[in-house]
Amino acid sequence: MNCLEFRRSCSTEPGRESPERDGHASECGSCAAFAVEMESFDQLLTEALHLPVPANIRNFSVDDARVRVAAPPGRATGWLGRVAIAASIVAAVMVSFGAWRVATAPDLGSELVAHVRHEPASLMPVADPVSVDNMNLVLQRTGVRVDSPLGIVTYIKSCPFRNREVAHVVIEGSTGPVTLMLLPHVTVEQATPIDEDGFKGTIIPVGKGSVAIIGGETEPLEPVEELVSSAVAWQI
Amino acid sequence: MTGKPEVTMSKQEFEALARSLMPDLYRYALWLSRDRSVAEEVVQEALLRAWRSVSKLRDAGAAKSWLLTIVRRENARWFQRQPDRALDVDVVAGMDEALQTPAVDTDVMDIRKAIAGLAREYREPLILQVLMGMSAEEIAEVMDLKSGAVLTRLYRARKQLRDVLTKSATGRLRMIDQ
Repeated sequence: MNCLEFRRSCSTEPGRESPERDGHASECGSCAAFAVEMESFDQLLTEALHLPVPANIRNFSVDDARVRVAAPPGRATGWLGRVAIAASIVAAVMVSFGAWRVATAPDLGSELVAHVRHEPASLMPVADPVSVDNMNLVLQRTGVRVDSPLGIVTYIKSCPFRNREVAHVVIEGSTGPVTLMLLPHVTVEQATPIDEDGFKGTIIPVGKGSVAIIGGETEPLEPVEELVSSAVAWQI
Repeated sequence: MTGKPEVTMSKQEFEALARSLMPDLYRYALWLSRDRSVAEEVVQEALLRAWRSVSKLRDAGAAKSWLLTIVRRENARWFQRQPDRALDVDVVAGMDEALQTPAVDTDVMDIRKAIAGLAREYREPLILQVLMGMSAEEIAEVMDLKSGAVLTRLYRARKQLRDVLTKSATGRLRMIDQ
């Protein structure tokens, strides 16, 4: 093995044990130093490639994955996809005409509305409400307890929000869909209004966490607030 | 019937296997897609697909490379469905956020950015080798390449990284001339 072969071998497989390489390194100080440098470089590579893994995805269950995959954000295929695209267009039009923007809870409210807009399929009419099994699965996974019915639930999914899996629920309101984001890890001091891009809502404190209620501009939210306040509690 | 008998695995056993490999599968998907939400979705879909076809697994010892192959295909499917996604500004921002993890020094940050900037044909074999501990032959099987081609890509990947990093080398990272 010559120096060129040695260095090429070290550059492709630095950690590989090789008597040939060992033999060459024992006779060539420059190549031996190169091998040490390459091993050091690979240690850095290893460290760099080990990106942190969020705690929420470390747990896997087949049933849970079925729920998560049932309506993934961003997928647009078949009739549901076409309806979702239509919803996106409607949302875009709403954005265009929603020239005013109230500066209330700008960060959290904006994040929540952005999340809702990112899942347009969640606002689509459905033939059948969400099954109790699916509902319980997501609620259990996200640490939520619901003590009384929330009404007709048309969508539920476990979603990442601010470094945690939370329940994203949509119920039938009096004028259209109403989104509930159940946030056991987000604290608000008092009810905080949302008025953003054609969506109106409020974030209400519930225990140590909060629940965001987001509907259309004409949706009366007080009945939903009362419902949520009495029904939702945290298990964690 | 020829070959090894199929692996019998209950749902609980499969879930335990998936959980044990989840960090590797997620990191692989994340480095391929460079998008956290895509990586999460890809891994979930890949594991579901794997569960549906678990009877095709002939060797429990090969489960990791089998799952990595499924993740790889699922990632390709994802981007076939959304070919413009790679150009989305949010995608880059998402990866930037993943790269900006705390408690890493400047060298590691620089390398992460440089790896993310590598062409996929160089980035992927490097991930499989360094992160998954695969040999060139195993990588060749996952990527459907000849092992010689894998070695060439590994060489070029490291060379490109060194070239980039030499310009910004500080601290622990000291490069030498070849």
